[in-house]
Amino acid sequence: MTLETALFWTSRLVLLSLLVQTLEFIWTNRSWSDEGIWKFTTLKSELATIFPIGKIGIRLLFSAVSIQVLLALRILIIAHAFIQPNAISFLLLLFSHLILCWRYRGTYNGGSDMITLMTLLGLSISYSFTDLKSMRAFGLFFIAVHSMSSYFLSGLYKLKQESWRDGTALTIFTKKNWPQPLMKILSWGVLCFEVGSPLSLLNLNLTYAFITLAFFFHALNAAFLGLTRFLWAWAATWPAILFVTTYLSI
Amino acid sequence: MWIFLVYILILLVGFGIRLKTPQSLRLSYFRIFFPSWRFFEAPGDRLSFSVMSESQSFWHEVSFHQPQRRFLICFWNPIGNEKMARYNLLEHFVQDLDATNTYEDTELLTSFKLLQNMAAEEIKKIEKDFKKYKFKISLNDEDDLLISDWFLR
Repeated sequence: MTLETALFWTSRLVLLSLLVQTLEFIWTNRSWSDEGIWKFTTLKSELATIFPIGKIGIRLLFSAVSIQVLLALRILIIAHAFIQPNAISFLLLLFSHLILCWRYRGTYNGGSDMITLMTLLGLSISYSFTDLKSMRAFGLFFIAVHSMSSYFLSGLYKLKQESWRDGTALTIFTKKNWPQPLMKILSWGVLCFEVGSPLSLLNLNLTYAFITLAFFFHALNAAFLGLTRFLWAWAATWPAILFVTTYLSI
Repeated sequence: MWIFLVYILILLVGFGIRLKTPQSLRLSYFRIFFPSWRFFEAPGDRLSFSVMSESQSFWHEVSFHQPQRRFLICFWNPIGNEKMARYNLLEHFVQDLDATNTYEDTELLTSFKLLQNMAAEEIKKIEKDFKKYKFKISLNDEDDLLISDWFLR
């Protein structure tokens, strides 16, 4: 996959992911409104401790009205970046992503917020250096390294656990009473997929096989555990992995 | 350029370190810059959150279960994702709880105040005209980690 094709797909997929996230925030607007759990009045003193930008600054960034405006602007920026991806759009999206995460005291959905931030950082680098091919490639490497390490390290940590090796962890997480031998096989399937993920960088066929498996892996996670944002967020990193494999095989 | 290289170096060092409990509030806010990829590492304790209104005098457990599985849920799950954020809030509070000594200290925590908001919202679903309410957090359906005082609406 060429640098430009990888940038095209990474940017479009992350924009799609951000659009879904934005619409979900609008759908659940009650949670961050002045009537909801994460109401501004409850959070403002803590936010003021973390960000020394004055009361007006805190209100401008984090009040319910500001979040409403931010989400509306985000849709416009996403639409603009979809047609014409550029550094300013990705930096603005990165900033808005941080504001939303901080509004929920760090992250909203954990891992998916983290990988989205890494993707936006990588794209901001790539699109900031339109004339410098090495830096454009660096941005994609940044995304691919994070994506790969997320699979590999997650698998490695699981592998250390007896409950993952014997399949009981999967039974508990999925809340399925399937036969233990089957759970053990499925469990080892997850472990092999995650720990073996760096091998997919050896050639393009392996990368395509890895991405196919990754798609089903995330789709099952979405279906069984409700991790829907993870599917979108990680899908945006796959073109960067394809680019890195192509780059390494030249 | 150098800022990014230093940042990547910090990330690489950070891969080997796990901060079980956020060392400080600021660190907890900025943890997004230092991703931890420990997903579903081991089955942990089950936390439950229950609410009670003065007039009903029985505990009502709040469900964090994902909505019924449908194909569409793979792509669009606003309610489920919000429930996940609520459960994360509960876990965050339990971590914060370790650092407090008295109930008065606990009441000052932002995570406690957010749970209080959550309790009020949940009670409202059961009883619209409630006057007083309280909540409790339990571990594995056995130990009560915290039972709050009564709060006025």
